[in-house]
Amino acid sequence: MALTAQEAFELSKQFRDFAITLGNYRFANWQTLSPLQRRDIEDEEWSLINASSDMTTKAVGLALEESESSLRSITKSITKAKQAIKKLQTVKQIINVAAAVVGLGAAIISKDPGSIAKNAKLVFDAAAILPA
Amino acid sequence: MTQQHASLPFMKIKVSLISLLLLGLTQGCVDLKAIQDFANISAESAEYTSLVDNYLDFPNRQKRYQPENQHAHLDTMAQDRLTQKSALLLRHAMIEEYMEALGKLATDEIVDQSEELSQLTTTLQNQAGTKPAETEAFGKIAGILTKAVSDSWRKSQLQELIEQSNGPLQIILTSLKQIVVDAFGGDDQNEQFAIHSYYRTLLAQSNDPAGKAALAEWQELRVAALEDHSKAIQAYGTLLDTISEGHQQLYDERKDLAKEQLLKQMKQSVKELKDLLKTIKKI
Repeated sequence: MALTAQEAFELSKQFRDFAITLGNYRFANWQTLSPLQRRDIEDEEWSLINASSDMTTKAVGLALEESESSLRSITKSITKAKQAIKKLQTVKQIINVAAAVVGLGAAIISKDPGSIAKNAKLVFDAAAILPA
Repeated sequence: MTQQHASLPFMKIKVSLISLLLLGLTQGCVDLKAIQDFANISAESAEYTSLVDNYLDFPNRQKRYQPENQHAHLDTMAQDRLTQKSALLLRHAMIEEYMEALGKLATDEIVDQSEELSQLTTTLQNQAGTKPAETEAFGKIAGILTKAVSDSWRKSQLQELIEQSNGPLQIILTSLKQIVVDAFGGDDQNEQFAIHSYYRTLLAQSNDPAGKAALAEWQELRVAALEDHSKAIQAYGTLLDTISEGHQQLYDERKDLAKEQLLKQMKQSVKELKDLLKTIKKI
């Protein structure tokens, strides 16, 4: 059976508890232990605390894996939301194009080439910002 | 004359119907600022990634306390953690991006085309053959109708977004909270062990009273800094819970996002998130 993130965190805690128990023993018996014994116990403490940290790293990896599919789902939702925002912004842009087209219509009726050219450019500029 | 009399009741009915329609549509336009504020502060909270940096740096900080024969192991641990960096930051970035999209969709400006319509109305007013009063009325009606239609569509999109995202978002937030509290919090407990073991060993080996006093002070400083970090972890865990609860409330009331009680709860969540973020940033 595969290890879960929660189980890995629990194991990490147990390694830490062992290290603490060993440390307490070392200091409680400081006077009776030889320097070599103290050093050996201390080495074991560091190995245990590092095993705890390694298990934490493993647990993080598992937690990341466990939420991977949710991450893909939320990415899809974000893309959809962005499209909705874009659509709402397009409404504003379309109104701008409409205003430019109305201006061009008036210029054509007035038969003023200068005004037609100017308004045609405005229509082009307004339409250019619309999404393809 | 008879024809005019006959059309009068029809005109009245038409005007009444249009008025009713406009009333109904304008009542649909609601202020979702509380939701927008909730999304914005949640996005800002997700931007905070200092705790991830601290997690990655943990093995290097341990070298200060651990004997040299453990350093190679700590280097391997640092490498292992570094491979998780992008995945961890991606969780933060996704929550931030999602909340930004939610906030934008809840912004009233996105469904307000009054500026664009005003420009169109002005252009129309300059046309030969159009009556200014008529054009102005057209502008007003067009403004109300366009906003009402966009707003209604926007609300349906918001509802759909919240509905589809709540499940995965809750999983991501729960997972991130587990990482913050159990992993980053666990690191703090291991660091606390390392500080105590390192200084207690030095103190037990020393016979110099002045040296012992200095060591005790250093130990106190390290412990105080670590306690501050642990407080930040706890606060960030609570902050993730607040975002999770807030979004769950949005999901539960998604069919009526303008509900007064919901907007009140959102305002309360915004206040709590602001306070928590302030506390974390201060630490």
